[in-house]
Amino acid sequence: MDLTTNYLGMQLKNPLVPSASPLSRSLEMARIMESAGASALIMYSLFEEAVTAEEEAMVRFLHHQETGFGEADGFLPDHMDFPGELDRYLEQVAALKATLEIPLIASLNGVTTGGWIDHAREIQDAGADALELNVYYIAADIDQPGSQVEQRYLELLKQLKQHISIPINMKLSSAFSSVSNMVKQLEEAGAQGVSLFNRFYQPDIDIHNLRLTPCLHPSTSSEVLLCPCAGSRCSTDAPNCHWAPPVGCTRWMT
Amino acid sequence: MGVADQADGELVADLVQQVVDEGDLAAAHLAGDYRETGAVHQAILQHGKGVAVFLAQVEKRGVWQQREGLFLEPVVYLIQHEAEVPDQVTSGFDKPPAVSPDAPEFVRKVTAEIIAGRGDSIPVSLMPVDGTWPLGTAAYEKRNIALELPKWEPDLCTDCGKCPFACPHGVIRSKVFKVELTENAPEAFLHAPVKGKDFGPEWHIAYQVAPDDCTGCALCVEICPIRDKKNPERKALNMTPDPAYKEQERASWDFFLTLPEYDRTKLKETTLKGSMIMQPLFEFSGACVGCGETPYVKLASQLFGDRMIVANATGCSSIYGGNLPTTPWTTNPEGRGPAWNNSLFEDTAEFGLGMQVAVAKQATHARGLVTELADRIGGELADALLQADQSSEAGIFEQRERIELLKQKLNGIDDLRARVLEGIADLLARKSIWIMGGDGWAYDIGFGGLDHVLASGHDVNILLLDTEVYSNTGGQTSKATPLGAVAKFSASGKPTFKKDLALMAMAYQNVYVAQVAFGAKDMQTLRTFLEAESYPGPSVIIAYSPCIAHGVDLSNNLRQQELAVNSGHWPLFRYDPRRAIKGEHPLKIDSKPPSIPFRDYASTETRFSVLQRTHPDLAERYFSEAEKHAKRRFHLYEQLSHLAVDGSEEEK
Repeated sequence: MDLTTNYLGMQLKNPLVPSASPLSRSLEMARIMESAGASALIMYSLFEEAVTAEEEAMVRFLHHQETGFGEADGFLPDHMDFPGELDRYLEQVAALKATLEIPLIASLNGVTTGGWIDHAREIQDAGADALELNVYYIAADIDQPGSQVEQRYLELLKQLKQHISIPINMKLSSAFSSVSNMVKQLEEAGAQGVSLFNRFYQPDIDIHNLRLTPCLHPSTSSEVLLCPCAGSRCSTDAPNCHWAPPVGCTRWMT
Repeated sequence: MGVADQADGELVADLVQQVVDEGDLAAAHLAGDYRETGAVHQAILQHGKGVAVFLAQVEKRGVWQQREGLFLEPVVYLIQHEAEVPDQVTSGFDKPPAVSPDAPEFVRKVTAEIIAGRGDSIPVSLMPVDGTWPLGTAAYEKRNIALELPKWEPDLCTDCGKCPFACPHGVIRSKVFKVELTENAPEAFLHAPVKGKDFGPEWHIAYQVAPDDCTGCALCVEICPIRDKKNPERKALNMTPDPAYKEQERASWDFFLTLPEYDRTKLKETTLKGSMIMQPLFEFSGACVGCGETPYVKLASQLFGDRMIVANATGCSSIYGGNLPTTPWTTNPEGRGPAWNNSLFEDTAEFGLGMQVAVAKQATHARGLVTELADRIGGELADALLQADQSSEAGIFEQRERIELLKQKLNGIDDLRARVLEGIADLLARKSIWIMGGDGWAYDIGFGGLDHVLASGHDVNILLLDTEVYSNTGGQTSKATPLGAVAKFSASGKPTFKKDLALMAMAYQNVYVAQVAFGAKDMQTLRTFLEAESYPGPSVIIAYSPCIAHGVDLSNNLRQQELAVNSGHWPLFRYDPRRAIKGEHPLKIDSKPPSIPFRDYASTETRFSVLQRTHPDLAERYFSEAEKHAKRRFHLYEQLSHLAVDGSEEEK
């Protein structure tokens, strides 16, 4: 059976692509996934805030230890040069490229324009075949309409398109505004693809102690039923079927 | 300057010009590549001090990569917007005096002068002739460094006592007093009826902050367990940045100080609430914001301060404990307080043992003299003095009353022995000998002495403030440093396990041994201190003390203690030889088996996490080994705690 498909402009031997996960941290595991038939690999995400937080922590606790006290001008040995979060990600991009035959899609979670553009360019230079972008923007401002949030995504994409040439895949929540319209807008802005989160890590609320409790429950197989249109309810073209993709849309992935 | 240098110089000059004119970060990055050459000096000559500032920043960062734009942006901004320095002082702010004009004469004339940096001008005639410096002087050194202060919400508060317990600087206090005493209180002074049945309805409680002594570390807010159900953001204590609040609290604090201390013989010292009403006799030290050591020292001073004699090893605790010109050790309204002395790293335990031996010898001599003079003192008083039960605050109080009576009687006795007894009669009241220091002292340099003192069987209490590095000298490795932690002399992670000092001490079987972490379980810490002090032999308390040397913001002090305990890095337990005598297990484990991966704890502290950057392979090996070790160690302790006391069979 011919399972070849086209994803982000790349010819894939089948549509099975392991999504962003810690599995790609290990070269050995990446090789196993490739031999098991993965047609491409999406890397674990590089979080811009992790890069920034690491820099800030290193500056505060390693490079800037002046205590104003004559007997101790610092508390930790100052390693002047070592790879940071970004460097290690780029090294892993290069190492995976050298190890695998299948296309490698890097994943970037950015917050600011600076982080997006700088890091994306470096990821491209390190050899990634495509880039998946996650703008996990939490729209909590009561005065900000959805159109502005959409505009935020589109602006970021447009700016990024000017700086890198590899295909860009936008990663959205399955309930993101009007999904099908948004996909159309993203396509016009230059996105080569769109993928959806099945769901997000969400903290629980401990109502007895009035605290947020972080929790991690891995996905179950029942969640595979998630409909790409769960957010948009594409019932115009298929009134009795809530699971059908919008007409003309062939890029859905969960 | 060589030809190459000259070319470099021109290039760097151009780059710097771009930085100055256009704020071009890319040019700044490129210029940084030449920082090792003579070119930068040339650029400084051409472009003045703005560039000098810029290059100094570059030099300090060390690492020079594109992501450093994070730091360069503000620097470039500074170069472009060089601040103008006026020719004369334009501020209308008056520098407050070093100490209050109401301070005692010695503090004004000597202490304040040293604080103000004029110590060299103090005439020798003003210095104490015998080298004894007055206590409680840190209270006059108002630092006023907190940008935010905790604000008490009496409607929510349950009087649990956790906030004064956690406060590293003794600045948040609880006091119980009769409500009628608040008639002349400042309007803003907050107080509320004490909750619970221990006090009558006329008794009120106040949680009061010393606004000029608080460092703003917010640990009191962090530990506060009470939240407003209608507004979960609001706790029974909340940090507030309002300057008007600070001003108002100055008056409230002054009033709070005028309220009498509650009768400590009536307090339940086994509860946090009760013990925290006791006055701390260690206050306002110069320890770091959020210090992990000082809450333990303060706790000891609250529980035993009026009868404490302290031998303090050199280290952080000797620096914040008594660096001239001020000392945080103080006295209570009766004038009683800890007698404190600092000794060398290598002999502190012996130094404390000497104090214990001297105190015990003098007490024995005093008892002998009471027996000899019993007829003339009065048989009943003599018996009462010799057989006094001093195991409680009330018992000690009664003995002190008897000693006063004894002194009056001795006054009328014409006998040389009466004169000698007058001099040592105070030793008939129980003293509490404490030997304090850090891990550099106890695990390393003073270990021989510590071992000697543990083996002696003498009644001393050892408080080991374990920061797992030599903190005071800048974070050098000690034998308390855990596997994989980066410290000076362990730049690629400590390759060996932390020495298990508790297990070594337990091997003696007649030593009270405990490990505590107040941020993880405060009641266990309190119980440990009371048990250790009451044990009539050597006691050692190993106290986990988060430190800035761990590379973590100490506003997370309590969280770090919880993580250390939950990961099994720091199990909590108490080994009490008295239990064995009663046929019970001497060892009680007070924490649960490791419930989180060691990595979850390690990744929150730079001392561990930096190893993952510099030596990822070593980090991987050390951290997985540390996790196994934590489990093994917990299992070992658990097994020990189940051994049958008489050795005949293992209990379940």
